[in-house]
Amino acid sequence: MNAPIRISPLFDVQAPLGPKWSHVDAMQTPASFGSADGAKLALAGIGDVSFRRRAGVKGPGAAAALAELGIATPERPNSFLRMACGTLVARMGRTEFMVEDAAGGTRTAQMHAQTPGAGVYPVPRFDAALVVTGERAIELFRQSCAFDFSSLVLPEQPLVMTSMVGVGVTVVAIDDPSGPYYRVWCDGTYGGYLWATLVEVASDLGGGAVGLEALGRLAQ
Amino acid sequence: MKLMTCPINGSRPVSEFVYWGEIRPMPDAATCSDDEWADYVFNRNGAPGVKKEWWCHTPSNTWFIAERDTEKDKVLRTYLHGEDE
Amino acid sequence: MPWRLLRFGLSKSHPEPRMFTAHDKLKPSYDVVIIGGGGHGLASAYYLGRDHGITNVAVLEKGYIGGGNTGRNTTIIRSNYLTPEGVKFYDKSVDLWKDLSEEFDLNLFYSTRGHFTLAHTDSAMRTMRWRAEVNKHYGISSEVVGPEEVKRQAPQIDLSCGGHAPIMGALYHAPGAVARHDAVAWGYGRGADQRGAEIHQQTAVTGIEVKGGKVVGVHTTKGFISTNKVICAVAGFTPRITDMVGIKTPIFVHPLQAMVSEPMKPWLDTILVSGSLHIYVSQSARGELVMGASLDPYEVQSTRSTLDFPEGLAAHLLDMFPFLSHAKVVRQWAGMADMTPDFAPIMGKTAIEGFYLDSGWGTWGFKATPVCGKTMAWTVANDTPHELITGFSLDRFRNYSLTGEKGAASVGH
Repeated sequence: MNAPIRISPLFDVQAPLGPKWSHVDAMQTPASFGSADGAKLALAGIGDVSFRRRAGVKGPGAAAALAELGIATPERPNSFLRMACGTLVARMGRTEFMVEDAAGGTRTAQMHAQTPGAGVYPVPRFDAALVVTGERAIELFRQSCAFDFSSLVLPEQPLVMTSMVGVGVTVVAIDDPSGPYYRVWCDGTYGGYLWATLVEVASDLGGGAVGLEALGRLAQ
Repeated sequence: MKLMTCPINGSRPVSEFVYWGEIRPMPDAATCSDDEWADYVFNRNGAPGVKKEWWCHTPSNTWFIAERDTEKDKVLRTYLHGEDE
Repeated sequence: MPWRLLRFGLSKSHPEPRMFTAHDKLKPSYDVVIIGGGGHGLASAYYLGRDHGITNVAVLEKGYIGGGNTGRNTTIIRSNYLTPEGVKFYDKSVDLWKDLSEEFDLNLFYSTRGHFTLAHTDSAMRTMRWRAEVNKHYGISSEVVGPEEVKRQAPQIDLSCGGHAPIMGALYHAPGAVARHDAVAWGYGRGADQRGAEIHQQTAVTGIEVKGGKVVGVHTTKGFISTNKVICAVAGFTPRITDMVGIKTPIFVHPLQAMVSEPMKPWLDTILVSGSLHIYVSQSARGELVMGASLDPYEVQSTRSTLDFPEGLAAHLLDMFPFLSHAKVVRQWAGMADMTPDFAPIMGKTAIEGFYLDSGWGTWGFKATPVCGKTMAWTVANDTPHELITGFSLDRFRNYSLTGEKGAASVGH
């Protein structure tokens, strides 16, 4: 009984490419699409990190409920923070949050176990989650989205909700010593279309789909 | 590309939004007459003018109010419900 | 006819008669005043004179005749609707259309092309079968066909529509046709003019005088006219006119846009409509592709057009016909569509005596022009709704008895 319990929303579009698979957090995820992954990553790489466990909460009591569990929340709407333990906390709007565990993290499990108090509404998340990276990532966004990602001020840890190739997405821009990279979430049912379309555009830019081995710590 | 300003997310292409019609006060369904209710359900103010309308920024599901000149298709201002001074 | 042209050119008195008499002044009173010099208004004037002998009629047009939605539609004529009311009504219209060219002695370029409404889903196929049965019951040529028949009549089509919306079948309506839309307004206008009706262009209505619940006159930019009967046939301007008499209606106005490509050799003989791809397309006698899509997504009471529209429409058209990727768009425009909640028009008498509405024609008014004129004329002459339009009265909303014409425009709903 070592079959994966969780299926990535991107599985159906990834399987025909025949990647080398790995199991992370009980989800079958591409480890590598081939020897060119590293070169693609440097230009415009699209990675799948849907395996990360996540949970949402909204309502006037949402921030307090997270604080009870020791989860820090960003001060401003449309920004995110990374806790010391690696947990990613995104604040969408005034009273809505999404929490994503780091490897082996248990924050979201605690959230699921919490009995919601007044003004706290748990939001189930079924996201497709992508990493978009590479020196031509901005060009990729220019071709797929009307929002200008080059206008973001990275030290402010910005979060953007917009429409990319017609799909509603949440994007955070992460400042990294190796250069900025992006995390993109969308509803899982649109994930295959978003992934395939972004990979197609990325291919024109010399990039494409990349596996976890090439992503390395960017998959965190 | 026409732009609309979401009070939370800023200026975005209008394709990121859905229009939900003019804000209209609902009569009390328990006490109003059938005619008043039919008037509320069906009749609309179809003439041009500056109207207060419901709009939603769909990627973030932010509902807000836009004051718009429906003849010139010009948005005069946008704000969240309850934040109108 | 070069000699005739030469004679015309040399003559000081213009031997060729003009299409209409130009009237300098309004008379102080008319039996019937028609607001709106589009196809519907002019047809009403024509049938009032021809069928009912009512010729003391003024048609008031604030712009020029046929300059509104009559000249802004995509000229499609068909009768394969969904409700019995709609089917009977539009079938009568198609009958009238066929004889118009001869009646007017004016070439309308009425051209029967066949009309496919494409289905890309099981539920769309179900609706097509339903429509076909309703249509056949009323003796209208309408049938469900497979994708191979679509391919036979339009060999260039990609039946998979780019892979994401494969065509499963279609509703085929053989009498589907196109006609030259401004000729319709001119034909009816000339016919009405010859029978004594007056057409006043550049004449806007500024108010309607109502006394004791009855219409007594109309204020215009060229003075006051007394009259007891007013027909309002102004499409997207309807709410502005009904506000003048204090009538509330469910009409809301969204722009409906269309565009044409550069002319090309004839290759598309039939009319194609796809609800899923939000597109309808036919090729005009000039060779241009005439294309339309669904309504604009929000209310606007003007005829501005947008860049989003040709972008979206072109993307969907290329799903159907990838070979058009190099075709150029040469014009785009918008009309103000007066929409109703049940996609059926609002016609006939109102709470104000002598105020008759011909409205709510949204995305489907052109094809109904002849029958609208005929039934509105009958309704005004007899002060009783014609039997074909009893299902379209304004009262139906107050009584919660909607008509539900979802077959209305095939696109957008």
